[in-house]
Amino acid sequence: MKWLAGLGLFVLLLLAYEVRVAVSRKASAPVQPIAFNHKIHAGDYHIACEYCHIYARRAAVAGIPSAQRCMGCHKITAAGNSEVQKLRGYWERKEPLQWIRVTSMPDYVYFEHWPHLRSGLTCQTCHGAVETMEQVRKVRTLDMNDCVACHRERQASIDCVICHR
Amino acid sequence: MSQLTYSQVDHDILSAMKSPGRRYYLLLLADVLVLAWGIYAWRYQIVHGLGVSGLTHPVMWAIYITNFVFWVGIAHSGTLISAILYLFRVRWRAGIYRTAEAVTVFALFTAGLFPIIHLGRPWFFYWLLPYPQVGGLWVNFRSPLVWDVFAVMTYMIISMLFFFTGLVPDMAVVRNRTSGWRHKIYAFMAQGWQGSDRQWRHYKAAYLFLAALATPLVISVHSVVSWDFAQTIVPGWHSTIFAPYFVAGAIHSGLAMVITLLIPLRKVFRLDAYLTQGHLEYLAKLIILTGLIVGYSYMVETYIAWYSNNIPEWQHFTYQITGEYAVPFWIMILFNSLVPLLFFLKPIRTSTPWLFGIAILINIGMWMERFVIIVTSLAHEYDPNSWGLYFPTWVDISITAGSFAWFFFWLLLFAKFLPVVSIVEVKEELPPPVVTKEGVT
Amino acid sequence: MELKRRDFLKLLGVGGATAAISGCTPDAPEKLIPYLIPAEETVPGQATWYATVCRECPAGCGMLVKTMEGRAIKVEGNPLHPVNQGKLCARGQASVQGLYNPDRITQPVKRGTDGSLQSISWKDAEAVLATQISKFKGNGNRIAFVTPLLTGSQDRLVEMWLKAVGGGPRLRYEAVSYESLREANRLAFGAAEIPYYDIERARLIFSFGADFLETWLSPVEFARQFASMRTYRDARIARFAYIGPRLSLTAANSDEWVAVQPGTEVFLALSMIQVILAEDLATGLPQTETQDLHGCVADFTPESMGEKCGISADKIRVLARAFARARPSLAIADGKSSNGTDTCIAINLLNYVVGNVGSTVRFGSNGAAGRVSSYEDFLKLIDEIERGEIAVLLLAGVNPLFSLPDAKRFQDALKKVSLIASFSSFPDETAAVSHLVLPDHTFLESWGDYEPREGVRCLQQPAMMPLYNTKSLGDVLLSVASQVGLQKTLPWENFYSYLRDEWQKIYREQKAQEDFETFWARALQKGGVFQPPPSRAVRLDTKAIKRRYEPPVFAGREDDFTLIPHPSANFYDGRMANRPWLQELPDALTQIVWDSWVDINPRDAERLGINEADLLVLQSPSGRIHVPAHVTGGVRAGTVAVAVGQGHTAFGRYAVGRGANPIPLLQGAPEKISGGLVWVGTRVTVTRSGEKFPLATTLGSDRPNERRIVQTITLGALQQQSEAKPKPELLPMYPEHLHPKHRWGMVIDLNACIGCGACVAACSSENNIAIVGKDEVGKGREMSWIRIERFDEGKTDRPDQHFIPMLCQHCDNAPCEPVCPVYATYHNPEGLNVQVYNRCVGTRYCSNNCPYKVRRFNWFTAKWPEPLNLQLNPDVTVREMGVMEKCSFCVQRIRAGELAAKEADRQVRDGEVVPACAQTCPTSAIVFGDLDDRESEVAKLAKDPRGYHVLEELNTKPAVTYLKKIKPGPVEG
Repeated sequence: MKWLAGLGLFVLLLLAYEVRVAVSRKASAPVQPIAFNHKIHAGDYHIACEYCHIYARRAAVAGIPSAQRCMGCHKITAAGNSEVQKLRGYWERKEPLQWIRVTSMPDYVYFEHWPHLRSGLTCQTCHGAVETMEQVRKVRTLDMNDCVACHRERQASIDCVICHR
Repeated sequence: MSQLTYSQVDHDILSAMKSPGRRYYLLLLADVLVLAWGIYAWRYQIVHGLGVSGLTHPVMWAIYITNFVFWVGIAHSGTLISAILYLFRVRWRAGIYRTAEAVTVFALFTAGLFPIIHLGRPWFFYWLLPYPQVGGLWVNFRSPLVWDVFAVMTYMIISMLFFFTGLVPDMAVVRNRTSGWRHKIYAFMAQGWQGSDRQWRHYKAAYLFLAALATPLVISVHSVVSWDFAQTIVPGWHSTIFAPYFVAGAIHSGLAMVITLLIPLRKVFRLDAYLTQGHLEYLAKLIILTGLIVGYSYMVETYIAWYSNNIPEWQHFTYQITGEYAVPFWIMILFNSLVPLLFFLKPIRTSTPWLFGIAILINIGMWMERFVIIVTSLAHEYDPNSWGLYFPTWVDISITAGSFAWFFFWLLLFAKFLPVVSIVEVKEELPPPVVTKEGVT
Repeated sequence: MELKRRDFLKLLGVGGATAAISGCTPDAPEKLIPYLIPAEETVPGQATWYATVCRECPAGCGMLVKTMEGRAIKVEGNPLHPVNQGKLCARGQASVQGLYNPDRITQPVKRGTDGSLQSISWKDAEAVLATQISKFKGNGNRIAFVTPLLTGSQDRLVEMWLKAVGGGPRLRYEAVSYESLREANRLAFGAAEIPYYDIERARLIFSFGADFLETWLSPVEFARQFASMRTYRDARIARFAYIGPRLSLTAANSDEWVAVQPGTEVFLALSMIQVILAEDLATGLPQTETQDLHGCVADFTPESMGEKCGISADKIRVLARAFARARPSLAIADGKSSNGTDTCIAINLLNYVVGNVGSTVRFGSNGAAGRVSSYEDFLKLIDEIERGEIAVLLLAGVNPLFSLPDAKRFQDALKKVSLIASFSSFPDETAAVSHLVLPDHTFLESWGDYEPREGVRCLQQPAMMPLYNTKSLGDVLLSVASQVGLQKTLPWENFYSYLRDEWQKIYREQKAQEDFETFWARALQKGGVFQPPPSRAVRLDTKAIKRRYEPPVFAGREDDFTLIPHPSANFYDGRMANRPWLQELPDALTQIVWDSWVDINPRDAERLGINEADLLVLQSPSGRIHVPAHVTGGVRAGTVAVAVGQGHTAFGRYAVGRGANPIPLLQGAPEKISGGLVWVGTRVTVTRSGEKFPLATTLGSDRPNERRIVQTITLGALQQQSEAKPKPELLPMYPEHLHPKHRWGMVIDLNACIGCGACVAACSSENNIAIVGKDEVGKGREMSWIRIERFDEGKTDRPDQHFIPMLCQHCDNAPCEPVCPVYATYHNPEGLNVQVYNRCVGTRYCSNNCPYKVRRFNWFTAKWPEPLNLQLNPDVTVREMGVMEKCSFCVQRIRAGELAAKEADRQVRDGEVVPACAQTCPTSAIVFGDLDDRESEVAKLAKDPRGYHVLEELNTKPAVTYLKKIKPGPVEG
C-alpha cells in the first residue's frame, strides 16, 4: 500500500515538474536593462534583423549587436530618448550591456543559425513576429519536440548527432 | 492434523497476529537501522556518482546486478510452490504457500530497486519505461533490459494479484475478529467475503485461473533475466543454456529461502502443527531435484566451453576455476550442487538444524553463482589489455545489506499483519465440525 | 535545465518530496553580454588559427594554434613546416596545458629578507633588477645569464644586452645535450656541429643508443622519416637494428635489439669497421685513408671485441656486412657514456667507410642542438659563483636545480649571489630559490623566432593575449636596459619592434620582390621562412682518428648495477611533468602513469628476490632514491634504467611528489673530451626497502592470449601475397545498414605506428577528455577514447613489443547498439556509431557488450581546475557524471566539413575531414575518410593485402581496418 502511495506521489511530482518545465520554456518576456523596442526598429523602420544580428548567416550564433553598433546610429538618431540616454551611459562608461537571454538551448544542444537561414527559414519561423513586439518574448518552446517536428516536416535530418555531440 | 478443530486453527494462526512483544520490536528496529544505512549509502552514490562503488572498467556490472538476479530468483519460490503445487493439487502446499507467496512479492520489491540503483543517472530511470518520449522517441525494444522491465513487472503484478486473492477468505476471518481501523482495512481486503457458495465458486475459479496464469511466468521471467546475459557476446554469458539454467537456479534458491524463513516462523509462532516436518521434507526433496539440475547445468557449461573450441570461452572457464575469483566459484559448486545432495539422507532432511544450515548455504551459493557469472565474465573479456578486477566498496556492501533489510522489513510486517498460514486451506484438510451434545467439536 | 532537472530528481531519488519542491524554483536568468567594440577578425564560434613554433623542446616543430573567442584551445602541426610537416608529438600537444597550467606564476614576486614571497608590480620588479644591474654594470663579468637553447633574434638580443651591461658569462643550458656528438664531429671532420641525418633514405639504420623516436634531437621529424623508410616498396623494406643495453621505445620498433654492455658500443662499431675493411666492403675511400683506417682498427677483431660487448663475433660480422651492403645505410649514436666522444668518432668512421657521410649524414645544416653550452661550462659557472665572482644571476626558463647531478652544490653556491632573478613561468625548483621571479609569457603568448637548423627560420607569434600579468623576457631586458641608460645600444621600446628590425635583415637577404609588410605577413602566415638545409662536404681528419679508444669507466662498486637514466618520452628532461595529460598518458612500454619506476631484468630480480612494484632503494656514491621496481627483459642483466622527468620537489600540483629523479645519483664528472655530462657512468646498489609501492597502470595483460589483436606478417609471406584474400561472409543478425551519403572509416597501419601516444594526447585536447588521477586510473577508470595497446609476443627476457591504437571501431554491426535500452547509442546514416550523452542513463550495458572495451564511463563529474577549463573545446559536450562516452571519429570535425561542403555546395573532399588523432600522428599511421568513395585513400588502403579487422570472427564489421605489422626478421649479412 505504502509503496503504491509513494509511487503515486512521485508520478504526480514528476508530471508537475514536466509541466513547469514546459511552461518555463515559454517564459514570459523578461525586462531588459534597456527597453529596446523591436517594433520600432524592425517594424516601423524596417531595419533588417541581420543589420544588427550580423552573424546569423555566417555562424552558429546570430550575435547580439555591440554597443558600438547601436551608437553608430544613436549618436544622432533619437539622442534625446531616455532609453538611448541609458545606452549612451553604458557606452561612455565603457560598461558592457547585460541583456537577459530570451531564447536559450541546453549546453548539450548544438544549434547553428546559418544552415537554417540558408535552407530558407526566416528569423520569424522560430522567433515569431519580433518586428511586432515591443518587448521580445519566446513564442515557441523550441524544445526537442518542436525541433524534431519541424525537421520531420521539412525532411531535414533527424539524426541525433546533428544536434547532440 | 486431525486432532485440530476449526476454532483451534483460527486461534493458533491468528495468535501470531497478536500485538508484538519487545523481541519483535527490537528485531524491527535493528532491521530499520540497517535499511536506513543502506538508503544513506544509496543517497551518497547518487550525489557523488557511481564511482563511489567498486564498479570499474571493464567490470561495469557487479553486485547490484547480482542482487537483482538473486532477488528475482528468490521470487520464484512463492509462485512455484503456490501455483504449480496448487494445479497439481498437492495437499501439503496448504501450510507453506502463504509465506512462499509473501516471499515472492517482497523479493520482487527488492529486486525491482536494483535496476534503478545501478544506473549512472538513476533520476532518469523512467526513460526505460515504454511510453512515447521527447521527439517521439521510444525505448529500444531490442534491448534485453527493456524485456526485463516487462517480464519483472508482469510477474510482480500477477504474483500480487495471486497473493491478495488467496488472502480474501482469511481476511474475512480476521475481519470478524478485529475492530476499529484494523477492521476497516481487513474488511477492505476481504472484499465483502461472506463465504457463500457463489463466492466460493467464483473464488476457486479466479484462483485456479491466476494459478494457471502465474505458472508460465515462473519460466518466462527468469528466462528473460537470463537473456540479459545470454543475448550478449561476452564469453561466459553468451550461452544457450542460460534460460533453463537460470530458472532451475532461481527455483533452487527460492526453495532454500522458503525453508530459511519457515523454520524460524514456525518456531516463533508455534505453528508446528501446521508447518510439519513433513512439509519441510517435501521442500528438501524438491531441492534435491533443483540441485541436481543446477549441477548438471554447471557441467554442461563447462562441456560447451570445451567443445565449442572457442579460445576466449575456454580461457574464461579456466580463469573462473583458477583466477582471482576461484573461491566464489568453488563455493558455488560446493553449496549449490554438492551440499544439497545430503538431503538424500533421511536423517538430514528431517533434522531442522541441518535443513536450516543447508538452506542458508544454498542461499549463499546461489548469490555467489550470480556473482561469478557476472564478474568473472566481465573481468576477462576479449581484449587482454583491458582485463581488470572488481572489489566492492563500503557503498556496494551497504546497499546490498540495505536490500536484505528492506526485504525483511516487509516480511516482519507481513508476519504481524497477515496470517502466515492459510486458515482456509488448513481447514480444508480437517474434518468439518459436527454438532453433538457436548457442543461443537 | 539539465542541472535543475538532475538536482530535482536527485533529491526525489532519496524521497525528499519537500526538498523536491525547492528544485522547482524558477531558473536564474542567463545573461547575454555583447562586445562593446567587436573584435575585427573573429566570428563567434569560428576558430582563428595562428602559425607559431613549438618551444617545448629544441626540435623547433612548426605549430598552428586554434583559437576561439580569443583563447587557444588546440595546437596542431604546421603542414608547411619542413621539420614536422604538420605533425606533433604528445608533448607538443600538451603545450596548451602549460599555457593554462593552474600553477603558473601569475605576476612578479620578490622574496623578502625573511624568505617570504611578496607580489610586486612590474615597475618595482624591473627597478629591483635595474638597480642591481647598474650596481655591477661593467665591473668584470659579475652578471651571469643562463637561458635555454635560444637562436635567432632572441639569442642575439640576450648577447647584446649582456654585452651592453658588461656582463658574462652567458650559457645556453639544456639538460639533454649532445656535446660528445658535436666534439666527435669536430675531431673527425673538423665540423663542430650536429649534422642533418637523412633517415628516410637509409636502407639500414644502426642506432647506438640514440632514441630518435622519443627524445633524440628531433623526434617528430625522425618518426616521420622512419615510417616512410619502413614502408614496403617494390617488395623490400629497410631494416633497423638498435644497439644498446636498454629496450627503449625506439628499440622496441627495431627489427633487432642488440643488448650490448653499456659503454661498449664503441668497440662494436670499431670491430664492424675492422670487418668492413678486412673484407674490403668499404666504398669511396682513397687508398691512403683505407690503409690509415685499417691501421687503427686492426686490433679490433670481432673475436676480441665480441666478449667485451657481450655479443658473438659472428653477430658482429653479420651486422658489419649488412651495414656495408645496404646502400645507403646510417649509424647514429648519442654517446652518453664516459667514452661518449670515442663512441661518436667510431660511429663517424663507420658511416665514413661505407660512404654515408655526405649522403645520409650531411654537414652544413648546423642543427641548433649544436649550439648548446656544454655541461662543463655550467660547472665552471658554479665555480665562479662559489668564488663569489657572480653577483647577479639571471635564469630564464631553465631549471638546473632539477636537472644538475650535483644540484646541492649549485644551491649552496647560490647563497653567494646577491640577486638571483628567474624568468620562469612556473614555480619550479629554481624559481623556488630565486630572489626575484619575473614570470615570462608561455611561448603561445609571446613573440619570438627560432632556427632549428640553418635555412629554417620559424616565427613565433602570440596566439592570444597573455593570460596573466606576465611579461616576455625580451621586453623585460629592453625596459631594464633603458632604465640603466642603454637606450643608445638597445633603442627598441619593445621586443616586437626589435624582432621586426631583425627580420628586416632576413627580408633583405631573401631579396624578395614584395615589400617588407607583405613579406612579414606571409612569414607569419606560413610560420616562418624555410629553405632546404645547406650541405657542406667534409673530409676525414686521419690524424684525429689515430687515437686510443677508451673503455667506459664507471663510478661505484664493480659488481653493482649500471644505472641508465634516460629522458622520458612524456616529460623530456622534466619540464613537461606539470601537464596532467602527459602524467596520465601511459608510458609506451609499461603503461604506468603518474609515477616513475626502475626497469630491472628478471634474472637480477630473481637473484635479489625482487617482485613487481617492490619499492627499491638505489644507492650510488653520490645519492640515493626510492623507486618501485618494474621487472622487464627490456634492460640487459646487470643494468637498471630510470626515466628522467619525475621527482619534482616544486613544479605545481601535478608534478610535486611524483616518482623519483635519478639525476642526483649520477656522479656528475664531465666527460673528459667533450665536457658533456656522463649519463651512463654510475653504478648503483639495488636493495629492497621491504615496502610495496602501488603503481597505477592501464595494462590488463600484455600477453596476446591467442586473441590475435595485433597481427603481423613476415616479409616472405607478404611477398607471396599480392592482393587481399576474400573473407568468408558471415550472416548478419539484423538488416544491414545503408549509408546513402558517406561511410566514414579509418585505416591504421601497424607497420607505421610506433606507439608514441601523440594521438592519445591530441584526442584528449580535442574532445575534452577528463583527467582522473592516479588512483582512478589504478581502478581502470581512465577516460581516454584512444589508447595504445602493447602486446609482448617475446620471451620474458627478450620482449617483442607490438603496438596497436585501440579506439571505437564504429562497427557496422555494433554489439553495443542493440543492448542500449534507450537508444543512447545507435548507428547513424554515415556509418558512425554515435553516443548521445544527454540520452544516456548509464546502464553500462553497451560497455559490457563491447569486445574492444573502448567505451568509457563517467564515474564522477570531471573537474578542470581554473584556468584549465579555458582549454575546453566548445564544439564538444563536456560530459556529466553517469553517462557513457567514447570515440566519435571527431564528429564535430565531420559536421564542420560537411557544412563547409554544403555551403560551397560540393561534395566533401577526401582528406578534408581529419580527426585529431590522424592529424597529429607523426608517422601518418592513421588515415581517415569515406569508405564509400572509391577514390579516397582510406578506401584504397582498406583493400590492402595486409588489412584485417580486430576480432573479425565476432562479425562486428568494424569501420576501422588495421594493416598488419611487417616483421622482416633480424638483420642478415
